[in-house]
Amino acid sequence: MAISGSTGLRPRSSLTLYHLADVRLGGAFPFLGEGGAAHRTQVRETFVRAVDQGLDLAPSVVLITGNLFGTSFPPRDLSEFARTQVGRFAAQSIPVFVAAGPLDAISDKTYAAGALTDLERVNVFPITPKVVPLPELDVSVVGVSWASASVQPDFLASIASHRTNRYLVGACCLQWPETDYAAKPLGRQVAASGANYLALGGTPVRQDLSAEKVTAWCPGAPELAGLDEGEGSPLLVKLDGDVQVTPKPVARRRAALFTLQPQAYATTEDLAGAIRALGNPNLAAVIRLTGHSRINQWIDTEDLRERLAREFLSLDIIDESWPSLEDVDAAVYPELSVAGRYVSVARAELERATGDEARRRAGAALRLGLALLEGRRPS
Amino acid sequence: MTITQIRLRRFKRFKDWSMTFAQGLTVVRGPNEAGKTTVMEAVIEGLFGTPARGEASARMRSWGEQRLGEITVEMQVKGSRYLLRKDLEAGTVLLQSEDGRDRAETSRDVQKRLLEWIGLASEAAYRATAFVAQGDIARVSEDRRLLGAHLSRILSGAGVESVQQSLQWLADQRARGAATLTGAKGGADRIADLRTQQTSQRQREERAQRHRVELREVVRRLEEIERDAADKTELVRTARWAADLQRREQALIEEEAATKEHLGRAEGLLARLAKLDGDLGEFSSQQEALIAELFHARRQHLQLESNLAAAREQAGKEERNLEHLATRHANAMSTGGMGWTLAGSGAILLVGGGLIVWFLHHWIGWVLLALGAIATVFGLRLRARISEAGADYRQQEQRVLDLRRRIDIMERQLGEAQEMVTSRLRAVGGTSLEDVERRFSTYMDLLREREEVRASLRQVRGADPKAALEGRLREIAEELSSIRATMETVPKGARRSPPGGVEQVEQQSKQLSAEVQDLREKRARLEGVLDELRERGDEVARLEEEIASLQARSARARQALEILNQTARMLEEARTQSVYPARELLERRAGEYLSQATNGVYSRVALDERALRPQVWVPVAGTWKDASELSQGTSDQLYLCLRLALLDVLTADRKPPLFLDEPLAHLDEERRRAMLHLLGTAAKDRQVVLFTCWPDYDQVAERVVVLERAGAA
Repeated sequence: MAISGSTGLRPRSSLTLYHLADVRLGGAFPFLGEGGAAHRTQVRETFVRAVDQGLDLAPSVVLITGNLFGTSFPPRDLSEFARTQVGRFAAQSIPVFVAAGPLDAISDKTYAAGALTDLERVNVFPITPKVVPLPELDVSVVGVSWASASVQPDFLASIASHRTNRYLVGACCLQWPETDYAAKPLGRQVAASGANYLALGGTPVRQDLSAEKVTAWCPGAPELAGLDEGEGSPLLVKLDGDVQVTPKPVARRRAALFTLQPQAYATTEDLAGAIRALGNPNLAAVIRLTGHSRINQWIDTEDLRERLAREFLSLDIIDESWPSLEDVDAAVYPELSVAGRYVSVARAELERATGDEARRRAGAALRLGLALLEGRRPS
Repeated sequence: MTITQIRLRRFKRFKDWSMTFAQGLTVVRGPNEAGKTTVMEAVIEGLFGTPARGEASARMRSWGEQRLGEITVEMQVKGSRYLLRKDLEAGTVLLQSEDGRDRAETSRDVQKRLLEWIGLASEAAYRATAFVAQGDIARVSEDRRLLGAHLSRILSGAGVESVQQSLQWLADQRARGAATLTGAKGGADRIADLRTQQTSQRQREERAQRHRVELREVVRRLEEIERDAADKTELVRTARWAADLQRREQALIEEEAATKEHLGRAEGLLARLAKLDGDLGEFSSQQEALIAELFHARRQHLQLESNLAAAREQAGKEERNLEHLATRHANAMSTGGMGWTLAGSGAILLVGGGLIVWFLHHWIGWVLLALGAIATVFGLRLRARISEAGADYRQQEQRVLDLRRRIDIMERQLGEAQEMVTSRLRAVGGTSLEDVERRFSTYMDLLREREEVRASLRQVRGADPKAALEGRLREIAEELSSIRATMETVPKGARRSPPGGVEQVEQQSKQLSAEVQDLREKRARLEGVLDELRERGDEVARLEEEIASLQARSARARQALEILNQTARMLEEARTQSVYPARELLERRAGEYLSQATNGVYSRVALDERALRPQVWVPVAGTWKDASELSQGTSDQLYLCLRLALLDVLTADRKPPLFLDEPLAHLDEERRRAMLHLLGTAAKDRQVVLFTCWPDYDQVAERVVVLERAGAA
């Protein structure tokens, strides 16, 4: 997939950038629970693959933005690992620029700078903007690392004043705007930067923040970093007239949210089979059971999760379904039997419920109570 | 709803069989193994079963048949006739009204329709409510305390589990859930413990960060001091080097001067040596040999003169001794004649004395013998002295003669030596020995001086002093040139001693070195602490993940607990809403049925409001009695009455068909009649089907179907 944009500056010769972001080495993955340790190993392996791929692509410059580390105090073996891997670029005479993220804590307590100290051709940007000209490549790289607070918003706009070579590249990690409204000023800053390419970091999902003539991307995490939906991978950026941005995936693991309608499955085993069919050991899955369920369809999500967890990297099953009032046929249950009265009580609860949570809870109680009365006691 | 007919094809023992049901009481009679239970099973299967292949259906296969059969049930519902057909082989189901307008073709739809008609929620509820099996009565008969529980299960609506059991299960689950939330393994305690560990880890990280900052400052300071110390060390080294060069230059200059002086001295010595060599050249080597021979001859001559003088002196002494010996010999000769006389006299005395003694034995003889012996010995001694003196004289005489021969030889040799000296003197051209000796003394002096000059030269420089000294002078000149060139490369500032002197700079350098050492130790200590702190691996991440996992588990447990709580609350409420009105109705209806069954002996029934434990008013005793206190027969009657009452209560006006399997087997004749009367009454309102082995019920039945043990079809 190649994504094109125009800088309008029309440089005469081409420059290739390999842009990595938010690797999160050694980070915590709370959503994976006890599987976090294994995933940390996976993240390391993915980083090695990303470096292998970068070396194969032989870019002019490597840019690493955002959280290279997932912890501000990585253990020794991890820092040595990162140093070794980043050093492989340097060994091939490829300059590397690192704009640290918040977890790298590149303030006076910096780690990232320490981990990569004294590596030839590796530049870790300080917490104040710095310009590194590379005359042999006719490019200037302007970058800044995340200090105790986020990167100053006017940094992007200030990049324009540092053009001393044909190409101008900016690098930093951003506090990613949560709303479109908040993104608008950022877009203006990007446009004002006048850079040929802005290498951004700070979000695990690939984002295109290009504005006007400036191409700006955040590649996203190369390996699964959270349950956020969306892809992330290193980017190969070619600055040659039109800017070509090509995602270069290296990871296997992903997160996905699936929505199933319990009513479509006659039994819990059918539902379990449907979930099992989605099984993938590299998939962190969240299964949402939505819509309506039958009143005699009690789903023990904890039991399902325990039975099916081994089919996934991680599995969470959230039962958000509830019986439709239309489906609750009280006439079926003898009026004076406990079941009959129970259905009436539950129906009343469902009608009284003001929010989804209360409705879900009342619906679950209805299904559980009937299951108990009808001898379908959960195991 | 009433069932009007059932037809079985290839169903167990029935190849093709049908029976018609009465609106009221139908009795199906037959001996054991006639197929009564099969017919009951066929009714349930026909109404609620789902046609499906497999093991479950295989048990319904007719004997000797490969194919599965079919069940057809005809029903009357609200005035309409319905036909329900289930083809077990084809797995199809069809329910349709007689006019075909109302139809259902799936088991689920058919079941839903039937449950609606009979007013019960499930097949299980129907089985529990409208099917009074022989086993039910037997179980209740065995333990009459179960009666209430059995009723409770039926009243629950599904007939499978009593509300109390469900509530108990919920209570257990809630207790377990609460324990999970607060327990040490996965609950709040564990999370609190992990939080503590996490705080501890964070404190370690903060400590490490402080150490890191401190380490950075130490490294910076160390680099600064090391640079300073290196500068000072270089300054001292350069100054010392320059001083060394200067000292070497001075030493070379001094050595050059000394060498030049030596060279002058050597040249003087060499000149003197040349002169000495010239002087010594006058003495030829031949002359030197002749002089040596001269001196040798002279020494021999002098030696011979000395020897000759000594021999002459010795010869004089020996001649005088010879003269003395000659005198002695002459004296001995003169006394020798008296010796012979004396010896003869003594011999005569000896003979005389001997004779006297021999013959006379007189003492005088002995005296004469002694005197004669003495005179003889003395006389012989005097004769011997003559011989001795003569021998001495001749020996001395020979010695004198020998000396005289030697003196002659020596005189001749002396003469030859003198001749030799004279000839050698002539040969060397000397006028005299003194002249030759003087000339030789001069020669020896020159030789000695030449050796002394040579020794001095060797002292000055080797065997070839001039060349060696000149070579050394060249070396010195070259080295001086090199040193002066090197000095040019030393910065001018460094050529001078640093301000305060090298010692002060050295002192400063030592202080800096000590500080460097301290800082290095501090750096090593900090690095050690940091290393230790960095050995914790991914503990922080792991803790965060475990906490998240536990929190998620807790959240799920809390959610589940909320559902359990709500279910329990709703179930309690439902039970309250159900049991209170149902109990009142049940007590009334059961009392009416029991009154009919017991011919009015018992007419009041009371139920415990929670466990539905029944009690009967015993008029004779004037008290309520628990079912367990009643007779077996009364208890069975009470149970049947309660079942009928429950059916009325639960199904109200729907009135599903009631199936009874040999319910009256435990009753005596009178009670059985009373119960038959009751069933007959009940059959006026609803369809009742009674299965039995006995013909007693035929009289009250609207229709009797007799099954034969074999070949019934």
